[in-house]
Amino acid sequence: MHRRFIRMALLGLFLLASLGIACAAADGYSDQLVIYHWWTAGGERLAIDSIFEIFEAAYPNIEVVENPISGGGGGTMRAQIKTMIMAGNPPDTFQVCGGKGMLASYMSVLEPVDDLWDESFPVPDAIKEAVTVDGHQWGIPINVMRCNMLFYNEHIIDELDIDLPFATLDDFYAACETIKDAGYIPLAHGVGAGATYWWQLMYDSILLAVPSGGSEYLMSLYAGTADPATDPAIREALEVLKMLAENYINADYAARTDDMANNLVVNGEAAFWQSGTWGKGFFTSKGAVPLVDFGSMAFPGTTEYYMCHSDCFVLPKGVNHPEAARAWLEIFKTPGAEMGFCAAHGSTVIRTDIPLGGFDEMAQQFIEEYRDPSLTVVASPWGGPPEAYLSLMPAALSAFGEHLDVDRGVQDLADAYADLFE
Amino acid sequence: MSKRKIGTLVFLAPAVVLVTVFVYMFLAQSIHMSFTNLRFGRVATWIGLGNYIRMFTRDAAFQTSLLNTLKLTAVFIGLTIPLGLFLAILLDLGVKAKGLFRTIFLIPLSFSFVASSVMWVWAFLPETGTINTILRAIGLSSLAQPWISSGSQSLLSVALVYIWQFSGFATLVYYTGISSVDPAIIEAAGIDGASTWRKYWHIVIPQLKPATVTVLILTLMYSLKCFDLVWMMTGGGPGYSSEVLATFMYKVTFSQSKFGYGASIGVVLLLLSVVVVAAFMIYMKRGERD
Amino acid sequence: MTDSPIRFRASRVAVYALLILMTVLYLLPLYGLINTSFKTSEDIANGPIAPASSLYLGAYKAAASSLGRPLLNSAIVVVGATLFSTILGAMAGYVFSKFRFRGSEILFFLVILGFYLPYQAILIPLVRFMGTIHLFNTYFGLILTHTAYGVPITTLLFRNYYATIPNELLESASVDGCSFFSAFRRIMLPLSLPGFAVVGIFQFANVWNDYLFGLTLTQGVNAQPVTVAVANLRGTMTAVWNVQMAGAFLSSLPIILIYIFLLKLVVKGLLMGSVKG
Repeated sequence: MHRRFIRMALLGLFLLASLGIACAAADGYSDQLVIYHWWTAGGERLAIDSIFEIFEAAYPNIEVVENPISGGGGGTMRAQIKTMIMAGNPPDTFQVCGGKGMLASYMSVLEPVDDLWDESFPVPDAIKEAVTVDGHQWGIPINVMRCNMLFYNEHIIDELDIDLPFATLDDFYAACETIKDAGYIPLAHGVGAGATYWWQLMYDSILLAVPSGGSEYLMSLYAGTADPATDPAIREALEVLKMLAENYINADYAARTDDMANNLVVNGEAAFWQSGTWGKGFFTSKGAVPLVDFGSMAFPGTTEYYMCHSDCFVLPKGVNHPEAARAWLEIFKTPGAEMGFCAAHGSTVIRTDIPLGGFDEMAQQFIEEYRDPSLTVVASPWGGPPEAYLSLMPAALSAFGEHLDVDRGVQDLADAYADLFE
Repeated sequence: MSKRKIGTLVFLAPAVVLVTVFVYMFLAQSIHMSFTNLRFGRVATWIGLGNYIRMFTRDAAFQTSLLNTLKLTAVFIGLTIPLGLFLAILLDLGVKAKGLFRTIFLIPLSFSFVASSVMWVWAFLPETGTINTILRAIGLSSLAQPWISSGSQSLLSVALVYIWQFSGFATLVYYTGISSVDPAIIEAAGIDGASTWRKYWHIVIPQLKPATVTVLILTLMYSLKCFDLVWMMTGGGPGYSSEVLATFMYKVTFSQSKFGYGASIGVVLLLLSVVVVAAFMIYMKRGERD
Repeated sequence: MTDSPIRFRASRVAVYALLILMTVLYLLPLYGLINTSFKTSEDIANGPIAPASSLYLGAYKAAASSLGRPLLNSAIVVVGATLFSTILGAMAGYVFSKFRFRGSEILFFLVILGFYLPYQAILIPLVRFMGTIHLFNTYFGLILTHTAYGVPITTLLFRNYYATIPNELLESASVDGCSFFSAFRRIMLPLSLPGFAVVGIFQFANVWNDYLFGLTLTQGVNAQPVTVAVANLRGTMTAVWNVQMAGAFLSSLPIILIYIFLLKLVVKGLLMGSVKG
């Protein structure tokens, strides 16, 4: 009897404790900022932390309830956002890739932020245009990342005396042959663990390079006005992929994750790896030195294009803490935030008033490319097309990687495209 | 009311209320969604059976996911049950350190799918992964496979991971079942001259029916709903070769923002489970009548 | 230890060999995990098979510093959810196994069916409901959710378990004048030990390893379970493998300890069961 009473009492205490601890509100704060993003670890983590420091110093009375969610290239975070918005509990702000298609997918649940785009935010028109839909701006960007890049192992390139950059795809193939003959893997690639968007990155870059492709074609593709079943660019790009998959890409790409593909270049087993400028972080986290151990250049045949997207934060409708959300966006715009963030994140600053001084040589190179007016700015698969593009199209490409039948590939892409824009 | 009736009510009420709210109330809302074309951020309109018609007539990816789910279920059940039984028998044969082995077999269950998926992605790498490396080292390089890097084996590879994770629990359930068999019957059989093999086959195993039912229902649940490991290891790829209903539902709902269509896929998944569970309930009832 | 009455004719060596082989196969994938958790960032580039250059502990330190509060959160939620779902399952399983009434078969079927509900299908109603009853982002909200979704399986497991206990025991009790409740307390509960332990093992694993509800129903680090925290040890565009693996290993240790404890209960219960008069 006695023992049982003790047990019941303990149970009761436990219940009370769990209720109590959970309901304890934060003390000393007058407001809250519920914020979601996907910069969960490594350089990304340091980058967003630097902005939180600035924010918390400026607004010590606002409690930051941070929700970093990793996975799926941001997809897991976006899934959670959608659930919360549809359940009537939107977060105060969240991260999104800046681009017309992506923002158009979220527009109906966001508030426009036109008033934040004033003289205190000196950013080139191309970037402003990327977050503008129906005449309004929908987000505040902090950086830009060029996607049509190719990273390479400096030592292998020097050893084989290869001429960079590649003006055409044929130059690229020739170099790959040399590299292959010397016993290295020409092009490292990894789409494992569900990250099939790496295929899309390569394919869309190729679309810029092929004869029937180019920036206008890519824009029509993202806008839904193209016809993949008959457009020659689609077929040409698949032929290029086939050439690369058959001859120059490592055979285990489907199992290798992106990080493992990067390992191949870091270790000197492979020469090239295709990634956006964020790929720099993969190298430096393993101790590789920019411009000594590894370098970067435009993807073959795309030197005149600057395919890019930005990381933005947005203002959802009906948030619980609107002042805190706006305060965050204001801080996000400032040069201090941008510099601290980009230095740690490895991405490129967008404000035109930021000096090059605080960045390493490779980062400076990136900024100069960004500020080069002769390059044509093009949207990337992360922002340009509607959100579902990165779910539907890569499946067709990863299947193509196996069967390498161009007709089937064209058909699969056309079907996915129709599904996307129905 | 009799004490018995009160007792029945009190004992059933909490469980039934919880299930009613958290399962059936929510399910009703989801079913309602499945009859609309609800998309994220848009107003929904009623389309009746539109989603269901579409999935069975126009959506090849859905049909592939359905088939894959059934394949995965078959492989998972087909291997986990014999394996669990086999290990339980081995343990029963008077081995020392039974507790240690039982714990070891349960260790895979203690790892979250995040950890398991990483471990196995590395183990499955065709060139440098643990499995193929060892196979080559012991001279069995002909058995080295492409595993998850190939469309033909991606589903099987994922099935292997589920089996690895769950068979320890099947072993435990079977072992508990074997230990509950009345020793007197076995003694009697021994006196009659039955061999070890016969004792197991004719006496112990038939008494394991409830254990098998338990394991079956659990494995069915895992395999029909399985999402986490597939998602983290292959994402459904390459192509749709390892896409199962749960991952497809997730993609449709969250990556493509088609909440109505996604809900209808969930309903189909549930209906599939209903059919299977109903079949087993009938089987269980018949077994008890004997 | 229960000694099997089936006498050992097969070669003892063969059995041991098989068990050890299975052990190696079961634990092999762990090699990559543990190996990587001791690597430095530079080491990682050498691939998962190459051994770590030294026993670098930085990854464990980094993981431990992020996992403190989440581990506590998981512990509270797991204990609460397992306790409640097990008790409710035992109660309902008792009724379903021993008492037939009109509609009991259908009710049982409907309860079991909850087990097969694909959770992604009900996330939005769940979040909305939790918000309405003010249990969003609380321990109790998570405990309640896990209990509700655990009840179908615990009910099934207990129902099957109690079905193996002969009805004569209960019949003789009611002849002696035992009520419904005391029959449960005096006869069924003492015999339930292995049942509770087995169900407990299953539920502990289920709830501890849950990611979806932990992600969906919590905000910030106050109630976040360890699965979400470990998943976040990887970057989205970078991978920090060593910290991630260290975190995965750390987060699985508590549950292994619980297995060892519960397995002892299983054995104890089996011993009690086999000595029944």
